[in-house]
Amino acid sequence: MKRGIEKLIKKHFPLTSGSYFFYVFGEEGIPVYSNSNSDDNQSIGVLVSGSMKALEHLVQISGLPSQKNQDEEFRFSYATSDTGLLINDFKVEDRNYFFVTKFTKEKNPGKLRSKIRLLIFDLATISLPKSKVEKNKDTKQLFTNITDKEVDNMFSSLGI
Amino acid sequence: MSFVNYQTREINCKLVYYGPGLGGKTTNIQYIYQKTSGDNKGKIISLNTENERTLFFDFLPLDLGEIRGFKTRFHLYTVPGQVFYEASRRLVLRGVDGIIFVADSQVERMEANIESFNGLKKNLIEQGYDITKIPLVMQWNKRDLPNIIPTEDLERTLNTIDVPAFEAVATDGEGVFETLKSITKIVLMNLKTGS
Repeated sequence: MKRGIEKLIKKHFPLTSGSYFFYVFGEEGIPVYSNSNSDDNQSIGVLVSGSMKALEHLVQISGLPSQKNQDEEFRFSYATSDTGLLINDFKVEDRNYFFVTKFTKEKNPGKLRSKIRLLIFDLATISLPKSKVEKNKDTKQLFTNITDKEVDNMFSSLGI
Repeated sequence: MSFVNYQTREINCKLVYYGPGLGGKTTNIQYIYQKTSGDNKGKIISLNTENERTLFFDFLPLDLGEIRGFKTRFHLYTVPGQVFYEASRRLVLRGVDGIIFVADSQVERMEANIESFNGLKKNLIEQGYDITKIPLVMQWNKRDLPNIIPTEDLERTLNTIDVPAFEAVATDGEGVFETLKSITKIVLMNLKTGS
């Protein structure tokens, strides 16, 4: 999936190396892709996830139509005229993802938003091989009879 | 939320510390953060009010080593305990794989414990969970304070579904890892293959 995302970003942003940082997170904030090597990717993911959950709930209780009833998805922008964050959500095979764009010194934010919308449209077509990543379904147990010793061994890696 | 990536052999799970305000939820994950070696933990995130009360959640990502060839990553969250933040608690509970209910052992906090536990049951039902099936452990915190409720009374009043329970003094770390190990084991045993 990472390669597919990278390819699409290059298609839509061929000459903008270093100008923007892009991130893709799973619904719970798990990092899926980033062109930033920062240690903060996990923190950004969980804050994006929490913010978007809060905003979705805010939309619901405000009485606005849910985005499920709209042709166009809601998106979140926390930005000045040239610097900020854009968060869009998209779905791949019934799983929700967040696409985050961090930009600075942007001269044409309207055009940037428009390009991101096209990119999001393409991202939603990426296929995710089911054999590689699966959301757990209610079938059989992955582990049986885990012993206390096995759990202690796991924790020993923490220095506990 | 649990995701099993068979290609990379990684497991991600979400644990939530739930309970009444000032019961010690944040103290639990702060202690875990302090005692965990640097490579295995990410940054702790706390969305607090100015007086350090949890506003939305605390978050700590923790790599817990391998089990049977799978790397495990646990995402530890706390909910805001204050009654006012019910909507935020519901959001944090979404996609939860395991819950640690942190009760305050002081006599004067029993009503708050009961109210919080009833809130947990209600919120789980609203999100389609069955409290008798979701991994859950209880932690009787603040056992070092005077005027505490006997554990038998806490068990009888709060632990009606008879899940594992641990006494704790989270400020000193007593019981913190015992509780975390217990919920970790139950959550891992509850994972399904999806095949």
